[in-house]
Amino acid sequence: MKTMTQHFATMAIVVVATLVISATPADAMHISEGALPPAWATLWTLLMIPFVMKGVWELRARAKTDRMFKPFIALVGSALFIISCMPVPVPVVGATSHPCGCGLSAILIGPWLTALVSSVALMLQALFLAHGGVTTLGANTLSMGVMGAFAGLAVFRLALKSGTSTWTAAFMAGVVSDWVTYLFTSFFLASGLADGGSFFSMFLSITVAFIPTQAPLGILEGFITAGAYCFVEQRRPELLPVWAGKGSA
Amino acid sequence: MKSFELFTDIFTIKPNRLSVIETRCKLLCALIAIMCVLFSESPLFPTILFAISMTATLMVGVPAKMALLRFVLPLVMATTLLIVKALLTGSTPMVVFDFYLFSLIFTLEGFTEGALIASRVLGALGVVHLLSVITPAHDIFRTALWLGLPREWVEVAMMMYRYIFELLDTVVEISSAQRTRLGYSTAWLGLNSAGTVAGSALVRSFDKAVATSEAMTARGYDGVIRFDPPEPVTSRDVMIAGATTLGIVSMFLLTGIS
Amino acid sequence: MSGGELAILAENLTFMYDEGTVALRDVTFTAGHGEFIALLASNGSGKTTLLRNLSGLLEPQEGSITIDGENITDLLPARLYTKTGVVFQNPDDQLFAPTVHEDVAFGPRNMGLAEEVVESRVVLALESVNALELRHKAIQHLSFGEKKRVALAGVLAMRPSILILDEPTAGLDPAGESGMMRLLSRLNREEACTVILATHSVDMLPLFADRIYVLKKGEVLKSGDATDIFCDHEMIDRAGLRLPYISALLHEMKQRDGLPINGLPLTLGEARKRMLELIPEEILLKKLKDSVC
Repeated sequence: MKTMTQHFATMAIVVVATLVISATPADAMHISEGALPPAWATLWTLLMIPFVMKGVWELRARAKTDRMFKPFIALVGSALFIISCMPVPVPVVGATSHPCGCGLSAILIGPWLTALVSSVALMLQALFLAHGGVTTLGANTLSMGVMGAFAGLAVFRLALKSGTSTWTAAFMAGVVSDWVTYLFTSFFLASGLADGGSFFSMFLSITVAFIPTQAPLGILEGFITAGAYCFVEQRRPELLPVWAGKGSA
Repeated sequence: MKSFELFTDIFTIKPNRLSVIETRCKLLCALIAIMCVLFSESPLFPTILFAISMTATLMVGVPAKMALLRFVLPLVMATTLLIVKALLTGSTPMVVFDFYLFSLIFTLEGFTEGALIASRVLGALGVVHLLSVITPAHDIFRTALWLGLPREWVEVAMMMYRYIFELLDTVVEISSAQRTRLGYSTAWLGLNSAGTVAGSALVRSFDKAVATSEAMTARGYDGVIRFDPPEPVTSRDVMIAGATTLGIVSMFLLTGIS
Repeated sequence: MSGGELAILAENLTFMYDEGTVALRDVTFTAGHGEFIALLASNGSGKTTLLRNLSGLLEPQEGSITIDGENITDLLPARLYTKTGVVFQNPDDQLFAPTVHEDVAFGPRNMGLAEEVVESRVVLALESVNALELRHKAIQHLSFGEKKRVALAGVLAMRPSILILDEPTAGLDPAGESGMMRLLSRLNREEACTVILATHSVDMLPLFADRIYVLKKGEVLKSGDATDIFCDHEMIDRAGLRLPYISALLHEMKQRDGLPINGLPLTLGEARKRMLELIPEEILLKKLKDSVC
């Protein structure tokens, strides 16, 4: 009898492990609706609000001098949303994954507007793709649109200052933003799961569990970020200052 | 292109018993349902709610395959949560795997709590998904404005939503054009092609923004986009919302509290 | 010529894009009240640039534009755009709001009208383009032809006296194309709207246009009514255009086969009349008798 249970459990684990590894973890890294207890969900949502509001204020201020700024941000937001849904081939494994796009967004339109655009994008994904959720919007926006964005931008600026090429800087921004997003997602997820157990060991386990898939995905994100940024820089360099708010159309 | 195909709102415009209910009433019911799920202490309540909302989702005409595909990722997450929880918390061993170097111990408490969280994920997502197939996004955003969310957020949300479909066509066209010319025949080529598609999407979005701004100017755009106010709430809507809320709460009291 | 009698008077326009391309060279353009005017040209000849200048979206480096006798640079946007309505070539650029109703209401709301007035204008505008039933639809669920009509309604709701349209029939199927042209012609006749449109489809124009301007590389090659324009074969060739198919057929028959056709018919109706003139009367009578028996 015992062997039967064991056999069954092993089978189950093998199936689940395959699922976890072969599915698209970049998307699974959005915390699902219902995964966070009410208190934590509320806390992360409250923490998200100032970042998004700062984005709203920046948009409001810039739209006053440049009336076309709202359409520009909305359109670049739709483009970033689509990029984040774009299937990207994963070498060797043969599967496809999706970039998060927050690093690219941060180096194009700045971190505050990225927070604003991410919150909208995550809301749409929650509603229409069942990825992420409404009560987990706070945690997901914080990890992707705030932490990932700031980290990506910081790395981008540092790299440029230290004299690397734009391609390398954008590549690093993509990699770092993806990894930071995933670290914070694990952190927020651990917050919801750890009650009773040790928070740190929970955080560590989740982080380690996703390393095999998330580490290479970050590198893919780097390629996409660098590819997209350099494409724009080469073909239409005049667009970059407009998005960054340093010039008008 | 899987996620592209999943991203559709075609169901929301089908007239049916659920889509005609006023948006604020639907939102209220959905919020109460999600709250009950989050506060539920037993996996039974979220599971029942999941079953009900899935049935309703299928009844309004969403193909089962699409609903399933949309739920693959949350399912993966729910399973992962269950395993992590069972391995890392609790004390009473339920199933033990002995390997030479270490042993995996699934605990009873961990498994029970994990199952509860997994059921919450499914229950809450079922509700959100049902809401999304019976309510157009612009109705939800309009309600958001009514609820007092910043105008700029709603404006960006409305325009993003509108132009996502537009740019989606462009991106699908570009990547199909690359595909037919073997742009994805190797992984390396594929990565390059994907970067180009992303860059093109950005450039197109800029050109579209210029054209759109011009067209808006030509119709007297003064910096504010004025949306329709929400539809009036009928007494029928109130009755439906009241009955649904009552149903959810009493079910929660019966099955959600241990 | 005094500007007061004309809906639009544009004199000696020269327009150069920032990167140095000269898109318009010394163009003079007039449109009388209630006229139906077509700008006919091949791609890249400056049609769209001229329309953008006429609608105040671009400012010419040289020359002046007056609308109803007032200089375009003196008109505030709010007044300018209630006089001239601009319909863009790609309806997706124009329709930015989430639903048809909100998009059509955008202009009237910007004019500061009361909500009841906005509502009635939206209904009337949608009715006049036969799209009232689309009212509550989301824009992304419309077909291309529906989008074109809704885009037009969004401009009509502002009640402009001058309609400027960039390729209103481009991308439409045959039924949509003739439907759109008939709709514009109806607005022109019944609402006394001045219609100015850019196109390169020549087959429909003789039926509708009062006057045609032919553009080539930013210059006006010729302006006049359909007969004037299409009888100048050398100019039509130079502009990269062609005759309407029916005229081309009869022209060939006249030139190569020596058929004695009067003038150059431009529409199906005219062509039929001319052809019937050539058929001997006894044959026609015989045909008639046969069909009676």
